[in-house]
Amino acid sequence: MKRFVTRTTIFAGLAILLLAVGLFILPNPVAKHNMLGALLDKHEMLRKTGSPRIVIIGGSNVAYGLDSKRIQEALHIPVVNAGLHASLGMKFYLTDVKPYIREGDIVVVIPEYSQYYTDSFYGNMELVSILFDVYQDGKKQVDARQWWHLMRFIPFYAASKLKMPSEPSVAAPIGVYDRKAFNSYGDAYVHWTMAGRKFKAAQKARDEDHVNPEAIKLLVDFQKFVEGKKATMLLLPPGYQSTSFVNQKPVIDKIYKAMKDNHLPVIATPERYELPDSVFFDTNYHLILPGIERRSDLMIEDLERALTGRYVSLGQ
Amino acid sequence: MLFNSIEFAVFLPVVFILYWLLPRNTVKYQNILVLIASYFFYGCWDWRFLGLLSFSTLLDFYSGLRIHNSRSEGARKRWLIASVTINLGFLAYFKYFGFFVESFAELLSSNGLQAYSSTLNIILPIGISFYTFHGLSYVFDIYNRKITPTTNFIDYALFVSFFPLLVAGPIERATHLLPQIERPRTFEYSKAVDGLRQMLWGFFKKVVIADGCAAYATPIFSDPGSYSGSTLVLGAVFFAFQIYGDFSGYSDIALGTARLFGFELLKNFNFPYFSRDIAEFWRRWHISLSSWFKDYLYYPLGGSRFGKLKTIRNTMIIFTVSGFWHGANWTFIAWGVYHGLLFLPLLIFDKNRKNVGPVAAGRLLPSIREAFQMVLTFSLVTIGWILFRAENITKAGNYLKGIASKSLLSVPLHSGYHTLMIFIALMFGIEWLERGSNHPFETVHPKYPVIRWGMYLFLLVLCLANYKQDQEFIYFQF
Repeated sequence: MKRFVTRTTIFAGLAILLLAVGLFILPNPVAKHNMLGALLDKHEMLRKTGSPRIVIIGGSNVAYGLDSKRIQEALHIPVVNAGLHASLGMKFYLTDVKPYIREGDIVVVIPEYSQYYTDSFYGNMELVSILFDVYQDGKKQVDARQWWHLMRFIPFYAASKLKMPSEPSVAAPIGVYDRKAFNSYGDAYVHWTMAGRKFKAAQKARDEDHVNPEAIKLLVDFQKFVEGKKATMLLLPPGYQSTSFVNQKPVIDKIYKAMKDNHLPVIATPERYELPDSVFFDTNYHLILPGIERRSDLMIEDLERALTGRYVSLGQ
Repeated sequence: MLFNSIEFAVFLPVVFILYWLLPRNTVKYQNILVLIASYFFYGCWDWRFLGLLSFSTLLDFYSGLRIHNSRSEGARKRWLIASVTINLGFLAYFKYFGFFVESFAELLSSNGLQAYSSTLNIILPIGISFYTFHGLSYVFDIYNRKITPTTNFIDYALFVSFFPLLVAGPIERATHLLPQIERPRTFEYSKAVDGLRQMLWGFFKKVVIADGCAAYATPIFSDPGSYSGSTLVLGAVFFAFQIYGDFSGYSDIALGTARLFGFELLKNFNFPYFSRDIAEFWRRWHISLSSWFKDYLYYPLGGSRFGKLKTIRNTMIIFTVSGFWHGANWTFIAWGVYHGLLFLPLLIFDKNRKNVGPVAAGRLLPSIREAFQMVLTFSLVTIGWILFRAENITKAGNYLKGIASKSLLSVPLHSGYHTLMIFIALMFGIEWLERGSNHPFETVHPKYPVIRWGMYLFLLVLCLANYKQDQEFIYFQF
C-alpha cells in the first residue's frame, strides 16, 4: 500500500509539473488571435472613447448581436460594445469594466439568461485562457471564491496548451471568431451577411432552475458602483431565439421577476427581445444582419424612452 | 457524479484511502464504507431516487430469503412472481409507460379515433435497468437453487449498489460478486496498479475517441438530409467508434475502479470489432447483458432443446427484448430485430459457434479471409447502429436512403478529423496487438520505467486536453 501511494503520488506530481509548465511557461499564440484577444482592443476603445457614452456589457449576445454604429447614429452619443463571451462570466466582465466607467456614462448590461440561474457567472475555460494568456492583469480582479470555481478548468486548459497550437497564418481569411472580426465599435461583423447555421435550441427549463441570488447581488452591487461614479446603469434582456425562448420561458419569467423584485433598472420585457429563429447565426444568441438591425432598433427605442427626462437630449 | 468529472477525481482517492486505512480483517466496515460511498455517488445525480434504490434492494433481499425458506413450491413461486412483478413494474413505469401511452394514442389516431395523450414527464432514474437486473438475477438464482441467499443485508445492498457498476454495469451475478463481498480483501499492489492502467485506457477511449467521434457523428445524425451519402457513411462509422469508446471505456473504468478495491467484475467487452460474424460479435459486445438474457430468458424459454423452429423463436425473442431493454423507442426494437435476423442464417446452418477461438491466433496479421469477415461484420453492425442512433424509424430510413444515393461515391466531408482518425487507428492497432488480454496495458509493459511512465503521462495529458465538460456516457440513459 505504501509503495502504491508513493508511486501514484510521484506520478501525480509529475503530471502536475507537466501541466504547470503548460500553464505558466508555454505560450498560447492562438488565444491572442482569436476573439478572446479582442478584450485588449475593447479596453483600448473604453480608454479612448470620450464620455458621456453608452457602454454595452455582456457576453457574445452583445458582441455578436448588435450594430453599435446604428445605435450611435440614432442616439447621437458614442457607443462602445464591450461584450465578448458569456464564458468569461458576468462577475469578470462587470469587474473588468469598472475602471473605465466615468461620470455621465450610460452602462447597459445585457447578460445571457444562463448567467442568472447557474453558477456560470463565475466564468469557465475561456476566462482561464484570458487570465493566463491574454490579459494577465485580470488575475487581480479574481477573488478566492472565483479561483475556487475556476480550479476545475485549469488542468484541462493547461493540458490543451501542451498541444502546442501554432500561430494562425497572416494570409488566412478573417474568421467569425477571430480578433480581427470586430469593428471599431467593438461589434463582431464578419458573420453579419452569412447564412444562418443549424444549431440546437435551448432545452426546456426544469422545475429546479431557480435564479441564483448571487447573480442578482452582483448586479445590485454593480449598480451601486455605477451610480457612485455618477453614471447610469440600465439592464436589458438579450435578443433570444424564439424556440429557445419558449423552452426557457418559465425560468426567464423567474429572472424577470427577480430583477423587478430587486429594483434593478430593467427597461424592457424579455418578450420584446424574443426574435424569430430565422435571424440567428450559429447559437441562440448570435444574430445575422436582419436580426442585428431589428434588435438594435429595439434597443434604440428602449434607450430613448428610458433616458428621456434624464438627459434633455442624448448627446448634448 | 460522472467518472469523467473532477468530483470523481476527488471522490475516488478519498474513498480508496479510507477503505484501505481501515484495520485489517474488517471486511464488514469496508463494506459499510463502500456502501455509503455508493449511495453518495448515486445521490449526486438525484438523491430522490435513493429511496427507489433502497426499496428495490430491500424487496429482493427479503424475497430471496422468503423463496429460500418457503417449504412449498407454490409459495416459492408466489414470492418469485411478486419480486419479478414489482421489479419489472418499476422498470415499466419509469422507462416504458410514456412510450406505451404515446404508441397507443398514435394507434388510435391512425384509426380515426381521437386520443389525448398527456405528456408524461417521468424522469428515468439513472441505472434502473442495471440494478433491477442485478436484483432479478439474485432472486432467479435463489429460486433455481444455484445459490443460497445472504443473511447480511449490507453485503446484499453492496452487491446491488457497488458504485463502479451501479449506473451502467457490468450486470453482475450474485454467484460471482457476492462471495467477493463476503470474504476479506487485502491490498495487492499489482492488482491496484493494473486497475489504474485499465482506468487510464478507459478514459482514453471515452474522452479522446468517443467524445471526439461524437463531435462529428452528432451533427450528421441531427440533420442527415444536409450531407452526402459518403458523409453519412462516415457519420455512421464515427458513431460505431463513439458507442464502442463510450461503453467499453466506461466498462474499463468500472473494472479498473473495482480492482482498486480488490474486486474483479465480469468482463463486459472483448474487442468486439474484431469479430468474424454476428454470433461472435454478441459473445464480445456487452457480454454481461447477453449472458443475462441467455441465462434468464433464452434457457427458460427452452433454448435450443426443442428443435430448430423453437430455437429461432427463442433467439428472435431475446434479440427483440434486448433491443427493448435499451429504451422505449421503436428504433431499439428494430435494432434488436435486425441483429436477430443477422443471427438467424448462422443458427439455421449451425454456424453460430464457428468462430469461438481468438482471431488470427499466433499471427500478427489476420488472413485475407478473416480480414474480409471482420470488415463485413463491422459493416453490418454499423448499419445496425444507424437504427440504434436515429431519433425515430423514419429518420433511420431517411439516413439509410441517403447512403444509398448517388452521392455515396462523392468525396465525404473531410475537415478537422484527421487527428481523431490517427487516435482511432492507434486504439485499433494497440487493441489488435493485445487482443488476447483483458485490456492493452495488462500485458504491455515497456521494460524501462521512463518509457512506461512517459506513455501513461502522454495518455493522461491527451485525455485532459481533449476533455469536454458534461459529456455523459451513452449507456447512462438505459
